[in-house]
Amino acid sequence: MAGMRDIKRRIKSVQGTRKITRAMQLVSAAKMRKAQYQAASSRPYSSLAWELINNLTRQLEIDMPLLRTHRHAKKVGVLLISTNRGFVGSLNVNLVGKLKELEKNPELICELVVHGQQAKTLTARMGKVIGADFPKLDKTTAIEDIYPLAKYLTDLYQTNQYRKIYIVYNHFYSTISQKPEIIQLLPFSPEVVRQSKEKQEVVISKKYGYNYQFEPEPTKVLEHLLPRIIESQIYQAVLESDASEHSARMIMMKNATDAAGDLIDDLTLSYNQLRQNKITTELAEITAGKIALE
Amino acid sequence: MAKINFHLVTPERTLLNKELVSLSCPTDLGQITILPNHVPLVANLVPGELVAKSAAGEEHIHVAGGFIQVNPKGQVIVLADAAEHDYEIDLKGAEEAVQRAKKALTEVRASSEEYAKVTASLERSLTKLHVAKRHARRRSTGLPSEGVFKE
Repeated sequence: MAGMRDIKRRIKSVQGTRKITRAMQLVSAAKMRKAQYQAASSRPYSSLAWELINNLTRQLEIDMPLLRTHRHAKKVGVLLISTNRGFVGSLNVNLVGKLKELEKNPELICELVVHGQQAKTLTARMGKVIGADFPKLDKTTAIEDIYPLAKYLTDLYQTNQYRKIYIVYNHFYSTISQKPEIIQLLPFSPEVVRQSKEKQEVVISKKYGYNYQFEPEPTKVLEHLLPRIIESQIYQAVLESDASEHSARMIMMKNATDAAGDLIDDLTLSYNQLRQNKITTELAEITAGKIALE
Repeated sequence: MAKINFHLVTPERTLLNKELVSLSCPTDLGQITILPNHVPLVANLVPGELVAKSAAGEEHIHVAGGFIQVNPKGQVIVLADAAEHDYEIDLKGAEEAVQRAKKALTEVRASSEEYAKVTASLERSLTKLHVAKRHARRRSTGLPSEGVFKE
């Protein structure tokens, strides 16, 4: 019967697909473990560094190019960190959707700096302004790979072109949960102001006995410290989105493998039913033939 | 008695997180030692040896630069660019790194930026070697280093 042959062919093809998705699942699982470990082990550094800068900017009144705010700049820089490849479910689409929150303010023009192939193609299709494209490597990112990116952004900020700089990336919560998030990289202060409003009394009372001693003078320390902190924040965001990418892909591929298994089961059932029908029909024919002969 | 709540972190990992009696580290202005109840301080670290003294004994750690922060809560936080325990240092690798850097130094005199980079890398390798050699007799097992330095 023709129907049976078709079903058999479909089973074969679905089995082939399942082999591929399973292989991709295993590869992503291995990458995921590594990426998750890296993201988790660099978290203390970036959070402690962030804490330090928040503590410092709260009480320091030093004029450094990176600590200035540019109220009259018309643009905001948005660093969009996506994946290079697809097969990650809605990860990249959600990420680009998150940009809408930043575009609410009509006075400011969002200029994108994209890191990752998908961000580039998705935003280019939507006709957004792309200021720069820093291609992402397929291997795990080392902190040295971030330097050019950090330098580009800080230079634009220091030359008064960007009012603010944001990072939009996928934060890794767990293997099954990743959410797009926005963090403000520069200037350091507004977030600090917002935080200190909640516990203003504490801040004021601490202001006197709370002065950090600098060795050598503050400008020298901050000169080294600020770029490092910016780099570590970007680096952390890249690691988080790597971990998110591999986790999302692993889950997607696992779903695909499971779905292929279900499909094979369904097809096998129909195949067996058809085969049984055929056998029954044949038996009926044989019996009918035999009766006719008697 | 007051103790120092100490964190030593690098972008790659958390190296140390324990209570200390005292801490010595190399800064821009020379070696400093921090005891409990130190005033809040922020300083640059230079490549060198960091000695963490706890009730259980001393630990010697090589740091390749970074920052130290003593905050008002009595916590001491070292944000190092890279750091290794003395027993983790790959002695041979460090020696090779010194050789490489010295060789590169003779070649790149022309560009000042490159020169500064190589000098910095040489300094890091030298201090690393120094730390490793000084504590060589304490090395019971040769643990493989993680190759934190990339030339």
